This record gives sequence, structure tokens and C-alpha cells, in this order.
Amino acid sequence: MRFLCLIFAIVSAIQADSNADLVNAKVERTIDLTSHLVSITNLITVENKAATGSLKSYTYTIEPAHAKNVAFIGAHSVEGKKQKAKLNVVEVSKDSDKGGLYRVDFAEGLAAGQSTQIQVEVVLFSLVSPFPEEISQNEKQLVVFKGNHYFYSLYPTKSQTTSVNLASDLTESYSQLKPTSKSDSTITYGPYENIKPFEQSELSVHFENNSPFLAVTNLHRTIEVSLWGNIAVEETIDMSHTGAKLKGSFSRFDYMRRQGGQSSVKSFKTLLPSSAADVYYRDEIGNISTSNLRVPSKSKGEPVELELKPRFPLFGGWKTHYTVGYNLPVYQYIHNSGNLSLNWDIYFKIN
Amino acid sequence: MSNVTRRNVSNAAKSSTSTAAQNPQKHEPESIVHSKNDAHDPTGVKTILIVACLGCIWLTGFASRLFSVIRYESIIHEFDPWFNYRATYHMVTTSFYEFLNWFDERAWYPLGRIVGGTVYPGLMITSGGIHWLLSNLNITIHIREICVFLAPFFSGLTAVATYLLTKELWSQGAGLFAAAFIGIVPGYISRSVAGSYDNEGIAIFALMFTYYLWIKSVKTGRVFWAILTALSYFYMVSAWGGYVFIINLIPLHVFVLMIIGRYSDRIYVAYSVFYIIGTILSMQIPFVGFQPIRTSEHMAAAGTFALIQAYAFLNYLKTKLSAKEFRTFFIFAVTIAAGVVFAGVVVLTYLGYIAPWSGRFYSLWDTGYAKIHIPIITSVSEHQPTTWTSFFFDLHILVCIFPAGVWFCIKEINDERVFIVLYAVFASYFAGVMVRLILTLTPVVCILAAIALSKTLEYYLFDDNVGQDKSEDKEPKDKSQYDEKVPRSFPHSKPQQDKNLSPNLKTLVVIALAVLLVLFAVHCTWVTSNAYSSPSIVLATYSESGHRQIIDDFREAYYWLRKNTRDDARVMSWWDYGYQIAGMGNRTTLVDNNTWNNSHIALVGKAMSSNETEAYKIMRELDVDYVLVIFGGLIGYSGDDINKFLWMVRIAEGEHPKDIRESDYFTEQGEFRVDSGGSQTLLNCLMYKLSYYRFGEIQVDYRTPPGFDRTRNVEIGNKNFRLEHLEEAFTSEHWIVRIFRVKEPSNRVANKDLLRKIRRKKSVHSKKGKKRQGVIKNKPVVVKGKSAAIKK
Repeated sequence: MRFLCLIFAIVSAIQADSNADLVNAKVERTIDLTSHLVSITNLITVENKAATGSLKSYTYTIEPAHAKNVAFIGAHSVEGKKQKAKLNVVEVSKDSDKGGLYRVDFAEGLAAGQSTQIQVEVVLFSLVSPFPEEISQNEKQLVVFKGNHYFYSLYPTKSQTTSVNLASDLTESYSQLKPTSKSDSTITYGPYENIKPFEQSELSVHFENNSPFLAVTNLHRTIEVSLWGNIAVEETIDMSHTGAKLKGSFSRFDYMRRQGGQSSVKSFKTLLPSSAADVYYRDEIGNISTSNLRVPSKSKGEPVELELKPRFPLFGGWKTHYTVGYNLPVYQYIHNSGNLSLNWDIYFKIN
Repeated sequence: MSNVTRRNVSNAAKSSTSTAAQNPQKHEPESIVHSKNDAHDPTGVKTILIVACLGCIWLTGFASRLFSVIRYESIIHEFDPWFNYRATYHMVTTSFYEFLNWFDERAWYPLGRIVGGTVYPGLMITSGGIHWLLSNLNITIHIREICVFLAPFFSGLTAVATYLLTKELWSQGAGLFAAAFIGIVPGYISRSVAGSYDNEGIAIFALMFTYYLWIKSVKTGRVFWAILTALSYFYMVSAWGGYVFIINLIPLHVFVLMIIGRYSDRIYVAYSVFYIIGTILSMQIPFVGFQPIRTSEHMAAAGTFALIQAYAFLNYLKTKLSAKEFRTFFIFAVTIAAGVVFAGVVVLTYLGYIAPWSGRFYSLWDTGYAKIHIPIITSVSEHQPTTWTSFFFDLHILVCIFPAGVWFCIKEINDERVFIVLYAVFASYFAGVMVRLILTLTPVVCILAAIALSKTLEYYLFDDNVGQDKSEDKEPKDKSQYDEKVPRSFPHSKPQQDKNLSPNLKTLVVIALAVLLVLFAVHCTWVTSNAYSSPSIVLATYSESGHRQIIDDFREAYYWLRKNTRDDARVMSWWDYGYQIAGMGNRTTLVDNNTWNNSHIALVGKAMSSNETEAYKIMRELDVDYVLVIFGGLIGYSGDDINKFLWMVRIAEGEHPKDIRESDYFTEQGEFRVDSGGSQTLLNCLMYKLSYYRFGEIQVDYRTPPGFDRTRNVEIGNKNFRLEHLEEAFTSEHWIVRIFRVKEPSNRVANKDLLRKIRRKKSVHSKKGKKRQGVIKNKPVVVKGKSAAIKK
């Protein structure tokens, strides 16, 4: 695997050189800050300035400071306003010095002089940090996000706009790099013209965000395959609220009156495979009696939606721990191809 | 089960031969008939039937104890079981020796508790052993499940042991009745539902089995049975403090047998072997240690042992001396011996070699003793005197029938029936003193009621036209079918008055009895379902629409403690919740349900009953981080701390009579009330403030004013106060558990306007009059600023 990576690195280095003729003709960037995750959608018009030859890939770059915080990256080709084919994205390096490099393969080679539109979606975690770090129950949660005004790229960018979607229209402050405008909960930066490669300028927004900062600090999944026909899955989860820590007292009275505590976690949902049965939700001291299970119709193959409510509402800095387990039939997941193999999409989703 | 079968048969055979052979003169002819009847089983069908009956009883007993598991979940109940579970878990996850040496630094902060030496380990070893066995058989099961289902499982064993004991005392039919009764009687179910993981669950089995073996050894006079008795007694000692009941009842039996002239070599062998081996074995339990030779509770056994030796010696002399010589010598010797033993015990007690009776035992004899001297014993609800209703509630018709059983036993007395009569008399007395001891009364009530019922049914079911055998089971139909296949011919002592009763009348009586038994079964199920199957840490209410709502506040708060406080945080609460906090919250407690240190509990009681400032001093001394109180006023949960509060005051007053006086907490009319008419001491004490903090702002219902306490149905008297040294850390959903954080001492206040307002005195020189050693001129006087902490 490491060898493979090495090859990729070499290949990409060559390609990066050969792709030097690419230019970001136009970049529309949307930074979504409505939750505790940063979701960036880049609509990039790529132009091949080379005289001859077609190019096969585009290298997407992430700032060195954020290279470690990538949770997800994906790309589509775009025609007009519609998303088209999904593009292949390969991680090239995740170096915190150079930044994260991802190779996006074009659907078809980009001929000389041509341009195409691609959309790259990136989800980054733990970049929105609460500030102040401790709040009392009745205070609103304010958070800070620090990013880059410019589209960070290997290539020069001709024209670029950035819009930042906030969770609310209340901002303490936001960095100004003209032209900057703010309307309701959206801040628009740009258009900025002719940006050199790797250009950086700190964008910072300090705003109100009461969304719960739910983080799974530890996930332990046990899959017990029994050839009697059952797969028992058990997930043990340590969870914490990583938002602003609760300072001082927790008043149940205020909580009952729904004053304050907006950023607390009351319940969340998790998705289980559609054939999951015998679901249980418990912890060290027994069953957690507050949960709802929504079972979809079997035929559609929709996931089972499990609404979990922790024993107590999670405030900033509070932790909890629980176990969810369920059974699956073997025949859907085990295939006999010479050897028996377990085919399993490992996914875990909480929202 | 097959083992049981074989043993049953052989026992029955043996007992019949031995009783018949050894003292035929002492037996009524009818009891020989019983024995023969029991033994007469050429095809083995009867044995199969008995085994099947016992199996059904076992199953019924097990199933009827599962209400709480089905309604709630497989969970440990109440208070003490949580400690037992925690200890078992510790033993299973570490090792047995680790468990014996366990010093629990999380209890009784800052003292700690030596768990290995202060616990009856039988329960933990039993479930740990089962866990070990199952895991070696590759049956993976969590230790919690074993703990939850241990008591129901043992109830089946108890039923079998009761069957064996009753069979030895009377007949197999009575045995089956007794087993059926003990399987479902609420008095025993109350301590053995699934999840009630407590010593009593296995101890009642050990008790009945020890008594069975004792009766067996008295009957046979064989060392083998006596040693088995001692081993079973050893198990009982390891399981429950109630072993003292055995070690007093068996000597009493021996003593009474000697007095009524039923002494025999069998009894001598049985008792001597049992006492010596049993005492040595019981001393192996660390918690018991040297108590069997050093405390008054065990002296009766030692005295009886000495007496039976003397008696045996005299019997030996009797063979050597003439009758007249012997009589004088006998009276002389007995008087001297009894005097010496008694004086010896008194002197040793006085000198301190033998510990006097502990408080709980005094309170058995003098019911008012604990109330005056040890309020902590009286404060436990299960140590209250029993009411008449609770006898009926727990035993139903058995309590009415069992005197008849006593009478039958006395009428046809023999060695072992003396035992059961003594057991009945003493257990009845103790059960009257303490609610808790109904548990020890229950088995004997079952046995004697079974005997009475069996005897009655034998008489009334007997159909003299057909000349068939009497039935021994509670289902007469099955019996008669079976009996037809195996006709019997033995001389039955048919009483003469038989002929006076018409078969119809007999049938009527049998039907009446059957109806009673059905009512009994219905009552048992009802009581089990409604009274004894609540885990008490999970509550359930039914809304108006009939929808069931789970109130899970205890676990919510304990789990919050477990996850969101420092690992070494110390939680102060009333002792009732100590085991739960340790078991579910995994945090250090100051006092818990092992109430061994009264003064520590009194200190906590004092903190709870003092005002906030005083309480803060105590809490700082004890390094308290959190205070936990139980408050039921919002949803009307009655078992809360305000209702227990007077006990805290009383216990605190016992140790700190200068600071805490119970009368301060009552109104002038002597009422305990939390509304505006309540005493000011009560309305400002810590417990009140913590319970009602911000409760005055809440309005539950349109019809009631804000701050209306639904448990006590009053509007609280002191609303809108602030806490100075504590802050609310957590309150559960229905406010049942409230946890407060003890604040660090506040800094000196930096209030610019108030601090350091220095007034300078006018510099006046005055040397007139006063002898001053030296005066600093213009000495600044600091006017203390107000504390920033909010004061109203």
C-alpha cells in the first residue's frame, strides 16, 4: 500500500509539473458554516492554456493548516448548473507543510485551449472553534472560523468569489478584504482577480452558531459473524459535545423553559442497514429507555433510522458513552467466492 | 434432577427403616404408615410424578419472579444489590484473592472500607462460580445476567430443600405442598425476584437445606449427615448474617429434646459433630472470624454443647451407679454445671472476652431499644415492627392454616417435629418484631401449612367406598388416575368418625380448600406483580391515556456523575444512595448502606440539617465536591430526602446534641411542615434549600400556586432564595435527583467601589488618660466590602 502511494506521489509530481498550464479561469466558492463542520463547495472553471496536448487531471490543494482536518472530498463534473458524472479523486499527499494534494481525474482529457467545469466538495472538521470557550447556560454560543480569502490552488486563479453561509445573521466580526458585503447570514467576498498560486490571506468570521457540536471521540465496532446465519454488530461509542464548555451551573428549570441551552444535544439520529433487527441501545448501567426506531419498508432498501436520546442532554464539554447493537442476516453480506468473504460498507452516520 | 430423584427414593427408604427400627415406641402408628407409604413405589411412577411436580414448581417459581425483567429490563434492583453486584463484578474482573483483599477507597471517604473482611462472600462466590463454570463451557454470559437471575434460580432449589425437609417431617405429599407454597409465597418472593441480588436470595435455600440435613442427622444419628449439616451451615454462614438463627435454633432444639426426655445417642452424635465442625468452618469466613467463640449470640450453642457433653457423661454414669445415688448426683451435677456455665459466660462477658449482644439483637427482644439508642437501625423501614396486615399480605391463607400444622405436629410429636414447632414459635416472634424477619418465618409457615393441608386433605379426599389410597398431591384428579393403576393394600388407620361424614360433605370441604388454594395463588401473583416487582431505580407511571412512561431519573443522574465529573470526585448524599452512587455513578461516597460508622453518618446528617454556612464548613472538612439529594416534589415521588429528613436530624442529634435539636425542626404545635408555617430552622437548612432550589418559580399545574410540592401537597414556605456556597450542577428530568457542586471558597472581592474605602481619622494627638502601649497615627481602617456573592 505504501509502495502504491509512492507511485502515486511520483506520478502526481510529474503530472503537477505537466499540468502547470492549467488556470482556474473562474472559481465560485461557497463555505457553509451552519454546523460545526465546514463544508466547502468549489465550482471551478478550469482552462488548459497549453498549446498542445490534453491534460487528464486537476490537482486540488488544501491549505497546509487544514490538511489534517479533511473529513471528505469529492468531485463532480458540471455542465451548466447540473452536476454530471462523479469524478475520481485520489489523495496524493496530506503533508501539513505543503498542504493536502488531491488529484481529480477529468472524465475526458482536457484538450489544449479548452475549458471545463468541475465541482469539488470538501468537508473539514474541527475548524469551527467556540470563542469564548466557556459560556454559561443562558449565553449564545459564538464560534470563530479561520480560513483563506483566496482560493488556495496550485494554479493561478483569474477570478474568484467566495460566499460564506453562516448559521445566523449575528456576527461579532468578520474580516474585510474589499470587496466584501454581508446580507443576512451570508458574507460575500470578491470577486478577486488574478491570484497567484498558493496565495493566502486570513479570512476570519466570529459569529453565533448554536448548532450542537457533537463529536464521536471513540468508536469501537465489533462484528461477530456466526455461520448459523447471523451477523451481530455492536458499536460502542464515546461521544462528547465539543462546543463551548458549560460554565457554572446547569439549571433544569431554565432548560425546561427552553431558555438557553440552545446548543445542547437533546437527541440525534443514526442510520443502520436496512435489514438491521433486534436493535438495542444501552450503556454500562442498563437500557437507555429513550429511543425511537423508524423501520422503513423492507423493499426499498432504505436505512433504518434510529433516533437516540442520551440519558441527559449534552452540554458543552459533557460526555456520554453508549452501545448500539443489532443483528443482520448473513446472506446479504457474505458471499461465497471460493472463500467466504464479508462484504461490508463500513459507514457510520450521526446527525 | 436425576440426582434429586435418586436421593429421594433412597432417603425415603432409609428413613422408613431407620425410624421404624430405632425407636418404634416413639412413633404413632400413623406416621409409620406415612413412611411405608412413601417408600412403597415399585414401579417408580410416583418418583417420576414427584420429580415432575418439583420441576413444575421450580419453573413456576422462576417464572413468577420475572415480572420486573419483562416489564423493565434485566437490571439490579434497589440498594444493597448494587453493592453485591459491584463486588461480584470486581471479583469476576480481577481475581478471588483480589476480592478478599479488596480495600474500597471509594466508599466511606476518607476512611475507606475493607470489603473482603466486612462482607458475607457466599453470594459473590456463588454467582462468580456459576459465571466461571459457564464461561468454561463456552457459554458467554455477562455477570450481570447471572446476578439478576440468581435469586429466581435459587428459589427452585429452596423449593426442593423445603420438599425434602417436609418429607422428613411428615410425608411426601406435604412436602410437595410445602414446595409449591414456598415457590410462590410473597413473603419469600419479596426477597428473591429477578434483580434482587441480595444475600437472602441464596440464604433461604441454605437455611432450609441445613435444617433438612440437621433433621436427617437427628433421625439417623450418623456422622455423615452431621458433617453435611456442618458444610451446609458453612455455606449459610458465608452467605448471610442470619446464620445466627441456625446456630441458636439447633442448640435450642437439642436443649428442648434433653429437657423433655428425648435425649438419645443420635442427638449427641449429631450435635457434637455439627457444632465442632460447623464452628470451625464458620470461623473461616473473614467477616465472622472469632465471633463464634467471642460473642453472646453464639454462647447458647457453646453452652448447649457443654451441656450435652455433661448429659452424655451422666448417662454413662447412670449405667454404673444405682438409681438412688444417681438421682442425688444428677440434681447436684446439673445445678452446678448450669451455674458454672452461666456464671462463666457472664464473667467472660463482663471481662470483655465475650462481646455483649449487638444493638440489633437487643432490639429483637426490646422493641423500644433501638428507637432510643440507635436511631439508624430504626430508620430503616424494614426494621420496623410488623403490622398484622403485612402478615396476611405476605403469607395470605398460610398464616391462618399454619397453627393447625403446629397442632398436628404437637399431637404427633417426635424428635424432628419438636424442631419445627420451636422454629415456628421463634420465627413468629421475630417476624412480629421486624418486618424483615417475615422472611425467616415464611418457610416454616409454608411447611406447617402444608402439613395441615395435607393432613386435612388426606382425611377428606379418602374415598372409603373404593378403598383407595389417599392422595398426596394437590391435583386430586391426576392422583386418582394414577392410583387406580397401582392398587395399594396396607392397613390404614381409618378414624371412626369417617362414617359420620357423607361423601358429599367431604367433597364440599375439598372444594372449599381448593378454592382457598386458588385464591392463594391469585393473591401471590397479584402481590408479586404489584408490590415486589419494581426495580425502584426505574419508575413507571401511566398517563391518562394509559400510555406507559418510564421515569429513569436515577440512572440519568448517576450516569451524568459517571461521565461528567472528575474520576475522584466525592459525592455527599444520605446513606441510602451510597451503594447506587458507587455502583452506577462509580464515584466516591462518604456514607453508604453498610452503616458501620454511625458518627460519619451523623456528620453527613449534621451537614444536611445545618444552614448553608455551617454545612459548608463541614463539607470543606470532608472534601465534598458534589452533594446529591433526592427530591420528589415535582412529580410526587414519596421516597425522597425531605420525607427521610427527620431521621437525618435524629441521627445527627445523637452525635451532635449541641448543634442539632430535633425540636427545632418542628413547629410549635409539633408538626413537620415545609410550607410557610414550618419552623425557620427547617426552611433554611441545607436539605431544604437543595431540594427546593428554584422550585418556587415552577408552576406545575394551573390549579396550584408556583412551588407546589406534590409529595406533601403544600406550597413551599421558602421560595426565591439563592445558594451561596453551592451551585446546581445537574438536575434530572423530573427533578428526582439533584446534584449540586460545592464551590471553592470565593476570592476576596475586587469591587472597586466598595473595597478599600479608607477613612482616615483626624490626626489627633491625645495622650490623655489611657495607657496605650503605642499608637500608630493615621492608622488606616479597612471597611470590609460586601461580598460579591449575591445576597438578597
